[in-house]
Amino acid sequence: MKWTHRLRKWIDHRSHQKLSRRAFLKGLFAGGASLGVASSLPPSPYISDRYTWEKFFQKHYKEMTPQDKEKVFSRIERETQQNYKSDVKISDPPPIPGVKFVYCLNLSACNGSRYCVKACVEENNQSRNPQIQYIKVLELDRGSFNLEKSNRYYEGESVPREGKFYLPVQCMQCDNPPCVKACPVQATWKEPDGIVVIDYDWCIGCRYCQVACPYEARNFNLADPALDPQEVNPNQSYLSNRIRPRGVMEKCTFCLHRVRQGRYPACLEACPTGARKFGNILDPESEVSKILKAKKAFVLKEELNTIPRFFYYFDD
Amino acid sequence: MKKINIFLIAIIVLTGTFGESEVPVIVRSPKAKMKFYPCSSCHRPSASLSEFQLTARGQRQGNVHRKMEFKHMPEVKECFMCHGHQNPDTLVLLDGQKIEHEQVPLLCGQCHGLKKGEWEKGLHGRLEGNFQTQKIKPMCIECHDAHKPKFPKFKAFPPPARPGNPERRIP
Repeated sequence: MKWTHRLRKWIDHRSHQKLSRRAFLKGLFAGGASLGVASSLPPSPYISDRYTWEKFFQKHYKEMTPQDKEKVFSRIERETQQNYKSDVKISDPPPIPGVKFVYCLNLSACNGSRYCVKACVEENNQSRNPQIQYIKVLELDRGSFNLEKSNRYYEGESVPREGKFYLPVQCMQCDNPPCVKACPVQATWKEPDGIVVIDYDWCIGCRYCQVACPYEARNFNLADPALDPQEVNPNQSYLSNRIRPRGVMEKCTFCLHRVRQGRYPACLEACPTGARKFGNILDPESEVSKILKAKKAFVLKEELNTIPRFFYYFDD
Repeated sequence: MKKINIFLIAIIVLTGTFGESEVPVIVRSPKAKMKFYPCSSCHRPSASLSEFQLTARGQRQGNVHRKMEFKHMPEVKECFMCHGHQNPDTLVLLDGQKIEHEQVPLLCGQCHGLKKGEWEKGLHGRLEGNFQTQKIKPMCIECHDAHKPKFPKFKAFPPPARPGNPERRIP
């Protein structure tokens, strides 16, 4: 007799056998005891709905079909509703052909009031605790330009302070981005309109890109972002301002969800002095094209050949 | 022949849409933010440059401009260099030409011509709206107080938490 026949016979025998009272009670006690132990333990941070089959088999953003995207977006909306108690809409605006975004910042006008920082945090659903901010406003002495001697923790009762000027630094959206080269899993890449984006669900959180970036533009989510329901911006996009999961990198995306619809970035709209200018460099009539023609614009750390798309200039 | 026609039409359409990429710019009127406009509700037109007369409403209200500071041109003491005395609702240029408040860049541009040129190109000042369909540009006196044009000091938002600060601790 083959072993398969023996097995089938044994199963038949077992299934036809009546459950004895003794065996039933034994099973009941064992099951109850194991349930009791499991429920008395605190929930493990490693075994939770953080890792589901759905997430595990999710494709890279570039390989997703529209149907895949729909599914993924609805999952993120569901999870945000669950974890942050707020109804959000995940969108995915495509890059506009013939557009390349460039930022210009007038250092003569910037007064260091950090309005941009506040607007950025609110627009991009950045974690309030632990704190993550994309824009760092450096305070420098007039006549100097040593970034290592800058102060980013200045208290500003009345800014601009005497003898100081202010240099806001954020992601430069480099044309030769060192962060993209450093990523071992291609979770970050440069979009056709010049914005460097991250697929937060593909990121493995190795933080290589954080070290590779010479502008400290990238931030790591060490904990789950803490946001109150009323602080959540419901207008979210998959590649930019949706609430990030724990353990992934995030960075400025020039407010991708806004600028691909023709709206200005949140930091520009918040700037009270009009120091920030944003537009399409391929359009010769845009303000940024005119600024780059008329002003002596410069970039930070030019010698590193990162080719930033974020220009600074002083008024004449 | 038909092919050539279609080709020509295509060229015309393409140049029409892509050749000029001018986005319409609305220059926002500053009147919405002017607290006391129209000025003629309190100020009566007068012929003399040295004094102005008030209407009955103006006399009732008292001096509403007492909080106003004038820190612009130290040598100028009277209002009628820029404000119209014959028609209080208008402004006047140095050559006596009357202009509306919507034309205020002409007035400021008399001295600040370079800034006016930059503002017209969109290099100076804020821009709002949508950069693909409709830009909105505020005028000089929406951001600058005409009587005290230097930007005031601001109170900055609090600095980021320092590393090691309890606020940064991972929960």
